[in-house]
Amino acid sequence: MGVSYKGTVRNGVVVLPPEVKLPDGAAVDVIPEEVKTARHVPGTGARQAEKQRALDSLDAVFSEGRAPSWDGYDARAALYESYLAAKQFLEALPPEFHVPEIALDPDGEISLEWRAGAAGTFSVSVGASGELTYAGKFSPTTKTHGTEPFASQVPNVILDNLRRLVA
Amino acid sequence: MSDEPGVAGNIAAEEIVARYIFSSSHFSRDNNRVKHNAFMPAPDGKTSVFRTKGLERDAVWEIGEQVARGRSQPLHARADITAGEVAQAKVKVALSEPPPRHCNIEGWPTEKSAQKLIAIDLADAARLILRP
Repeated sequence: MGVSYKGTVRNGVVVLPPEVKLPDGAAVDVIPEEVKTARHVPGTGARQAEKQRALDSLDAVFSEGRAPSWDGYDARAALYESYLAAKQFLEALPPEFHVPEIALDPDGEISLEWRAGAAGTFSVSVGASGELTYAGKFSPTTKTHGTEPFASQVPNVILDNLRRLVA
Repeated sequence: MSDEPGVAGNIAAEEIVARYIFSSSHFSRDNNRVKHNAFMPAPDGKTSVFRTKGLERDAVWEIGEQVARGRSQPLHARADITAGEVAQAKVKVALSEPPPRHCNIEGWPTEKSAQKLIAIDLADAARLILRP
Protein backbone atom coordinates (compact mmCIF):
# COMPACT_ATOMS: atom_id res chain seq x y z
CA MET A 1 0.00 0.00 0.00
CA GLY A 2 1.38 3.44 -0.82
CA VAL A 3 0.18 5.14 2.38
CA SER A 4 2.66 7.07 4.52
CA TYR A 5 2.39 9.05 7.74
CA LYS A 6 4.78 11.46 9.41
CA GLY A 7 5.68 10.91 13.02
CA THR A 8 8.42 11.61 15.52
CA VAL A 9 10.61 9.42 17.66
CA ARG A 10 10.25 9.88 21.44
CA ASN A 11 12.31 7.71 23.74
CA GLY A 12 12.93 5.30 20.91
CA VAL A 13 9.21 4.92 20.05
CA VAL A 14 7.63 6.22 16.83
CA VAL A 15 4.70 8.46 17.77
CA LEU A 16 2.12 9.11 15.04
CA PRO A 17 -0.46 11.95 15.00
CA PRO A 18 -3.64 11.06 16.96
CA GLU A 19 -5.77 11.05 13.82
CA VAL A 20 -3.80 8.12 12.41
CA LYS A 21 -5.63 4.90 13.24
CA LEU A 22 -3.88 1.64 12.47
CA PRO A 23 -5.36 -1.78 13.27
CA ASP A 24 -3.61 -4.09 15.70
CA GLY A 25 -1.03 -6.22 13.97
CA ALA A 26 -0.64 -3.83 11.02
CA ALA A 27 2.79 -4.17 9.39
CA VAL A 28 4.62 -0.84 9.17
CA ASP A 29 7.82 0.19 7.47
CA VAL A 30 9.66 3.09 9.11
CA ILE A 31 12.04 5.03 6.87
CA PRO A 32 13.95 7.85 8.64
CA GLU A 33 13.92 11.23 6.91
CA GLU A 34 17.68 11.10 6.43
CA VAL A 35 17.30 7.85 4.49
CA LYS A 36 14.57 9.31 2.30
CA THR A 37 16.79 12.33 1.64
CA ALA A 38 19.44 9.95 0.32
CA ARG A 39 17.15 9.12 -2.59
CA HIS A 40 17.31 12.58 -4.04
CA VAL A 41 20.24 13.54 -6.24
CA PRO A 42 20.26 17.11 -7.47
CA GLY A 43 21.32 17.82 -11.02
CA THR A 44 20.57 16.39 -14.44
CA GLY A 45 22.13 14.20 -17.08
CA ALA A 46 23.07 10.58 -17.54
CA ARG A 47 25.55 10.60 -14.69
CA GLN A 48 23.02 11.91 -12.23
CA ALA A 49 20.48 9.35 -13.41
CA GLU A 50 23.06 6.59 -12.96
CA LYS A 51 23.89 7.81 -9.47
CA GLN A 52 20.21 8.07 -8.62
CA ARG A 53 19.67 4.45 -9.67
CA ALA A 54 22.58 3.43 -7.45
CA LEU A 55 21.11 5.32 -4.50
CA ASP A 56 17.71 3.76 -5.12
CA SER A 57 19.37 0.34 -5.25
CA LEU A 58 21.24 1.10 -2.02
CA ASP A 59 17.95 2.00 -0.38
CA ALA A 60 16.29 -1.20 -1.62
CA VAL A 61 19.18 -3.40 -0.50
CA PHE A 62 19.23 -1.77 2.94
CA SER A 63 15.47 -2.22 3.28
CA GLU A 64 15.67 -5.89 2.30
CA GLY A 65 18.32 -6.54 4.93
CA ARG A 66 16.89 -4.74 7.92
CA ALA A 67 15.93 -7.96 9.74
CA PRO A 68 18.48 -10.63 10.67
CA SER A 69 18.62 -13.76 8.46
CA TRP A 70 17.53 -11.71 5.44
CA ASP A 71 19.64 -14.07 3.28
CA GLY A 72 17.75 -17.19 4.39
CA TYR A 73 20.73 -18.25 6.49
CA ASP A 74 22.19 -16.51 9.54
CA ALA A 75 23.12 -13.09 8.21
CA ARG A 76 23.26 -10.09 10.52
CA ALA A 77 20.85 -7.24 9.87
CA ALA A 78 22.07 -4.50 7.54
CA LEU A 79 24.11 -1.90 9.42
CA TYR A 80 22.69 1.60 9.26
CA GLU A 81 26.16 3.15 9.67
CA SER A 82 27.38 1.08 6.71
CA TYR A 83 24.41 2.33 4.69
CA LEU A 84 25.28 5.95 5.45
CA ALA A 85 28.98 5.41 4.70
CA ALA A 86 28.11 3.69 1.40
CA LYS A 87 25.96 6.67 0.45
CA GLN A 88 28.91 8.95 1.24
CA PHE A 89 31.15 6.75 -0.88
CA LEU A 90 28.78 6.94 -3.87
CA GLU A 91 28.61 10.72 -3.53
CA ALA A 92 32.41 10.93 -3.38
CA LEU A 93 33.05 8.61 -6.33
CA PRO A 94 34.57 10.69 -9.16
CA PRO A 95 32.39 10.88 -12.29
CA GLU A 96 34.97 9.05 -14.45
CA PHE A 97 33.88 5.79 -12.78
CA HIS A 98 30.65 3.93 -13.31
CA VAL A 99 28.54 3.46 -10.22
CA PRO A 100 28.71 -0.05 -8.75
CA GLU A 101 26.13 -2.78 -8.29
CA ILE A 102 25.04 -2.93 -4.67
CA ALA A 103 24.53 -5.95 -2.44
CA LEU A 104 24.66 -6.92 1.20
CA ASP A 105 27.22 -9.08 2.97
CA PRO A 106 26.18 -11.63 5.64
CA ASP A 107 27.92 -9.48 8.28
CA GLY A 108 25.51 -6.61 7.50
CA GLU A 109 27.92 -4.46 5.51
CA ILE A 110 26.96 -2.85 2.22
CA SER A 111 28.98 -4.23 -0.69
CA LEU A 112 29.75 -2.32 -3.89
CA GLU A 113 30.83 -4.23 -7.00
CA TRP A 114 32.19 -3.25 -10.39
CA ARG A 115 32.52 -5.70 -13.28
CA ALA A 116 34.60 -5.55 -16.43
CA GLY A 117 34.09 -8.33 -18.92
CA ALA A 118 33.79 -11.94 -17.86
CA ALA A 119 36.86 -12.12 -15.65
CA GLY A 120 37.21 -8.73 -13.98
CA THR A 121 35.61 -7.93 -10.63
CA PHE A 122 36.41 -5.31 -8.02
CA SER A 123 34.41 -5.07 -4.83
CA VAL A 124 34.43 -2.86 -1.75
CA SER A 125 32.56 -3.60 1.48
CA VAL A 126 31.80 -0.51 3.52
CA GLY A 127 32.24 -1.01 7.26
CA ALA A 128 30.13 0.69 9.89
CA SER A 129 33.19 2.49 11.22
CA GLY A 130 34.24 3.68 7.77
CA GLU A 131 36.70 0.91 6.98
CA LEU A 132 36.73 -0.19 3.34
CA THR A 133 37.48 -3.87 2.72
CA TYR A 134 38.30 -4.48 -0.93
CA ALA A 135 39.13 -7.37 -3.25
CA GLY A 136 39.84 -7.35 -6.96
CA LYS A 137 40.31 -10.00 -9.62
CA PHE A 138 41.66 -8.52 -12.85
CA SER A 139 42.49 -11.81 -14.56
CA PRO A 140 42.53 -15.45 -13.38
CA THR A 141 45.98 -14.86 -11.91
CA THR A 142 46.06 -11.12 -11.12
CA LYS A 143 44.35 -10.35 -7.84
CA THR A 144 44.50 -7.98 -4.90
CA HIS A 145 42.81 -7.46 -1.54
CA GLY A 146 43.16 -5.27 1.52
CA THR A 147 41.59 -2.60 3.72
CA GLU A 148 41.62 1.20 3.65
CA PRO A 149 40.12 3.86 5.90
CA PHE A 150 37.38 6.03 4.42
CA ALA A 151 36.64 9.57 5.55
CA SER A 152 35.20 11.80 2.84
CA GLN A 153 37.42 11.01 -0.16
CA VAL A 154 37.59 7.69 -1.95
CA PRO A 155 41.13 6.40 -1.21
CA ASN A 156 43.61 6.40 -4.09
CA VAL A 157 44.17 2.66 -3.71
CA ILE A 158 40.50 2.08 -4.52
CA LEU A 159 40.57 4.48 -7.47
CA ASP A 160 43.78 2.94 -8.83
CA ASN A 161 42.22 -0.52 -8.68
CA LEU A 162 39.11 0.71 -10.46
CA ARG A 163 41.32 2.15 -13.23
CA ARG A 164 43.16 -1.16 -13.37
CA LEU A 165 39.86 -3.00 -13.77
CA VAL A 166 38.81 -1.06 -16.86
CA ALA A 167 42.29 -0.72 -18.37
CA MET B 1 25.50 -39.44 6.67
CA SER B 2 22.33 -39.46 4.59
CA ASP B 3 20.51 -42.75 3.95
CA GLU B 4 19.16 -41.49 0.65
CA PRO B 5 20.24 -43.58 -2.33
CA GLY B 6 22.90 -42.11 -4.55
CA VAL B 7 24.57 -40.02 -1.85
CA ALA B 8 27.81 -41.42 -0.56
CA GLY B 9 29.76 -39.96 2.32
CA ASN B 10 32.70 -38.85 0.22
CA ILE B 11 32.16 -35.88 -2.05
CA ALA B 12 33.81 -36.34 -5.42
CA ALA B 13 35.42 -33.39 -7.19
CA GLU B 14 32.84 -33.48 -9.98
CA GLU B 15 29.87 -33.58 -7.59
CA ILE B 16 27.63 -30.51 -7.66
CA VAL B 17 26.56 -28.63 -4.55
CA ALA B 18 23.86 -25.94 -4.64
CA ARG B 19 23.87 -22.63 -2.84
CA TYR B 20 20.25 -21.51 -2.59
CA ILE B 21 19.77 -17.77 -3.04
CA PHE B 22 17.16 -15.91 -1.01
CA SER B 23 18.40 -12.33 -1.48
CA SER B 24 17.60 -10.44 -4.67
CA SER B 25 20.91 -8.59 -4.32
CA HIS B 26 22.95 -11.79 -4.56
CA PHE B 27 22.47 -12.43 -8.26
CA SER B 28 22.00 -10.48 -11.47
CA ARG B 29 19.07 -11.51 -13.61
CA ASP B 30 20.20 -9.14 -16.37
CA ASN B 31 23.72 -10.56 -16.57
CA ASN B 32 22.72 -14.11 -15.60
CA ARG B 33 25.39 -14.36 -12.95
CA VAL B 34 25.83 -15.06 -9.27
CA LYS B 35 27.36 -12.26 -7.19
CA HIS B 36 30.18 -13.11 -4.85
CA ASN B 37 28.15 -11.98 -1.84
CA ALA B 38 26.05 -15.15 -2.22
CA PHE B 39 29.10 -17.21 -1.24
CA MET B 40 30.43 -15.05 1.59
CA PRO B 41 30.58 -17.03 4.84
CA ALA B 42 27.99 -16.50 7.56
CA PRO B 43 29.13 -15.07 10.91
CA ASP B 44 29.96 -18.67 11.95
CA GLY B 45 32.58 -18.80 9.19
CA LYS B 46 30.73 -21.27 6.94
CA THR B 47 28.72 -21.14 3.73
CA SER B 48 25.77 -23.51 3.68
CA VAL B 49 25.26 -25.66 0.54
CA PHE B 50 23.42 -28.87 -0.37
CA ARG B 51 24.45 -31.90 -2.42
CA THR B 52 22.08 -32.50 -5.31
CA LYS B 53 23.55 -35.72 -6.70
CA GLY B 54 20.93 -38.14 -8.00
CA LEU B 55 17.99 -35.79 -7.54
CA GLU B 56 15.42 -34.87 -10.18
CA ARG B 57 15.04 -31.17 -10.99
CA ASP B 58 11.96 -30.68 -8.81
CA ALA B 59 13.60 -32.42 -5.86
CA VAL B 60 16.61 -30.08 -6.12
CA TRP B 61 14.29 -27.07 -5.85
CA GLU B 62 12.32 -28.69 -3.05
CA ILE B 63 15.39 -28.58 -0.78
CA GLY B 64 15.57 -24.81 -1.26
CA GLU B 65 11.83 -24.47 -0.82
CA GLN B 66 12.07 -26.25 2.53
CA VAL B 67 14.72 -23.79 3.67
CA ALA B 68 12.59 -20.92 2.35
CA ARG B 69 9.55 -22.08 4.32
CA GLY B 70 11.59 -22.54 7.48
CA ARG B 71 13.11 -19.07 7.22
CA SER B 72 10.14 -17.24 5.67
CA GLN B 73 12.32 -15.97 2.85
CA PRO B 74 11.56 -16.11 -0.88
CA LEU B 75 13.68 -18.51 -2.93
CA HIS B 76 14.95 -16.68 -6.02
CA ALA B 77 17.58 -18.92 -7.55
CA ARG B 78 20.45 -21.25 -6.84
CA ALA B 79 24.13 -21.33 -7.70
CA ASP B 80 25.53 -24.70 -8.75
CA ILE B 81 29.22 -25.38 -8.30
CA THR B 82 31.30 -28.55 -8.14
CA ALA B 83 33.31 -29.59 -5.12
CA GLY B 84 36.39 -29.45 -7.35
CA GLU B 85 35.73 -25.83 -8.29
CA VAL B 86 35.34 -25.03 -4.59
CA ALA B 87 38.69 -26.71 -3.89
CA GLN B 88 40.36 -24.68 -6.66
CA ALA B 89 39.34 -21.54 -4.74
CA LYS B 90 41.28 -22.87 -1.70
CA VAL B 91 38.26 -23.72 0.43
CA LYS B 92 36.50 -27.09 0.77
CA VAL B 93 33.09 -28.74 0.90
CA ALA B 94 32.53 -30.63 4.16
CA LEU B 95 29.51 -32.80 4.93
CA SER B 96 27.40 -31.37 7.78
CA GLU B 97 24.22 -33.40 8.29
CA PRO B 98 21.48 -33.10 9.41
CA PRO B 99 19.57 -32.00 7.44
CA PRO B 100 20.20 -34.65 4.79
CA ARG B 101 22.60 -33.63 2.01
CA HIS B 102 23.69 -30.52 3.90
CA CYS B 103 27.33 -29.41 3.60
CA ASN B 104 29.34 -26.34 4.41
CA ILE B 105 32.01 -24.56 2.44
CA GLU B 106 34.71 -24.30 5.10
CA GLY B 107 38.31 -23.28 5.52
CA TRP B 108 37.80 -19.57 4.92
CA PRO B 109 40.60 -17.20 5.90
CA THR B 110 39.80 -14.87 8.78
CA GLU B 111 40.52 -11.65 6.85
CA LYS B 112 37.38 -10.39 5.18
CA SER B 113 39.25 -9.05 2.15
CA ALA B 114 40.71 -12.53 1.52
CA GLN B 115 37.23 -14.03 1.94
CA LYS B 116 35.89 -11.65 -0.70
CA LEU B 117 38.56 -12.72 -3.16
CA ILE B 118 37.70 -16.39 -2.68
CA ALA B 119 33.98 -15.61 -2.96
CA ILE B 120 34.70 -13.84 -6.28
CA ASP B 121 36.41 -17.00 -7.57
CA LEU B 122 33.48 -19.14 -6.43
CA ALA B 123 30.94 -16.82 -8.07
CA ASP B 124 32.92 -16.85 -11.33
CA ALA B 125 32.92 -20.66 -11.33
CA ALA B 126 29.26 -21.08 -10.35
CA ARG B 127 26.26 -21.40 -12.68
CA LEU B 128 23.18 -19.34 -11.85
CA ILE B 129 19.89 -21.21 -12.17
CA LEU B 130 16.76 -19.11 -11.73
CA ARG B 131 13.81 -20.62 -9.93
CA PRO B 132 11.29 -21.80 -12.53
